[in-house]
Amino acid sequence: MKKSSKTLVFVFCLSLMVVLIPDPVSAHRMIIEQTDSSTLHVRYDDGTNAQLATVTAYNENGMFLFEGKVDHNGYYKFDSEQTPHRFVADDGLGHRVVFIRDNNEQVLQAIPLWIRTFLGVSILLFIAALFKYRTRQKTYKR
Amino acid sequence: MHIADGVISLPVALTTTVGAFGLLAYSIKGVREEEIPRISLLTGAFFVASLINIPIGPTSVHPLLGGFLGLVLGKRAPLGIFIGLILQAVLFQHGGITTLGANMILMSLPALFIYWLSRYLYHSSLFLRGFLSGFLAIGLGVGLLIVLLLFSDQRYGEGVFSVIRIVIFAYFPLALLEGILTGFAVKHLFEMKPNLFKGDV
Repeated sequence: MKKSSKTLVFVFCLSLMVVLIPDPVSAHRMIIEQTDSSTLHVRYDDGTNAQLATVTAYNENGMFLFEGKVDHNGYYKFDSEQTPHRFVADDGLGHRVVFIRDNNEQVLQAIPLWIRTFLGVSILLFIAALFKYRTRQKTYKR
Repeated sequence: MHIADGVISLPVALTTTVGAFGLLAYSIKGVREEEIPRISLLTGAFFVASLINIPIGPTSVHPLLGGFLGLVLGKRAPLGIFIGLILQAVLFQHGGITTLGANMILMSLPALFIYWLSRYLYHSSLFLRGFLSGFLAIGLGVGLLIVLLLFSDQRYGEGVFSVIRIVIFAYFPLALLEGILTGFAVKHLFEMKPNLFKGDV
């Protein structure tokens, strides 16, 4: 096997290894989950609690209602009698998430992470292989 | 270090998008077919790196590989970063579409800086060159992040949202870690495949 092919196989295997790790690792994104009628949990999608997050609540008309910091475990208790509709969490590090009350469904999350990762890696490997092939063909013709 | 949708103001988003297009045009200009496999594979590494989460203090960070891409891809780094960011935004909801320009600038400028700097680090050891590249790329990226956040909303400079926290809590340890990772990666990859670096390292 040629050295370039070995490198390609090595990178492919490495990518597969990362993709197929069964641990629920995922990309770095902030998430709000409603744990009960008056509690939110703000975390990153690797499970780390977003301890720096500040939650801001708005009503259905987009009017500001209240704002507060999450506790050490990323939980935020709010007064449900004020009927907040939309929550925005911001950790000051560039991460921000908008959450509509009582709506825990997320369409993209229905697709397992390994499938999404595999798709991305496959697209890039396909492009790499295609242009490697084209370059070789050109070299042979010369 | 990906900025999510809604974090930066509209003027900052527009300005950075225009800047990002400029960077992309600079990066694409003169690209040859034989360079594309290498760009694709390194883009794959950049894409997958965001899956490696490292909890640091009250937040969680992941390697960015800006310094590494700058060393290996040189002026083609923004092209790889652009494609990687699109895939991350679409497949992982990591970053955002409206902040694509800002994120591209945050990661591409440090990579190009490392590409420029690598010429002056020629006499240093491979590990030191890699370490400095990884460390400085994160440092510059954090500096740009702070500027963008402060331009978007002065609130980021106050109290709970003080951007000083960014450096103290999260990115300084990441810069050290990324420096070490890049140092080892450059040292070993150069031994295995020296032509990967096109004589720039």
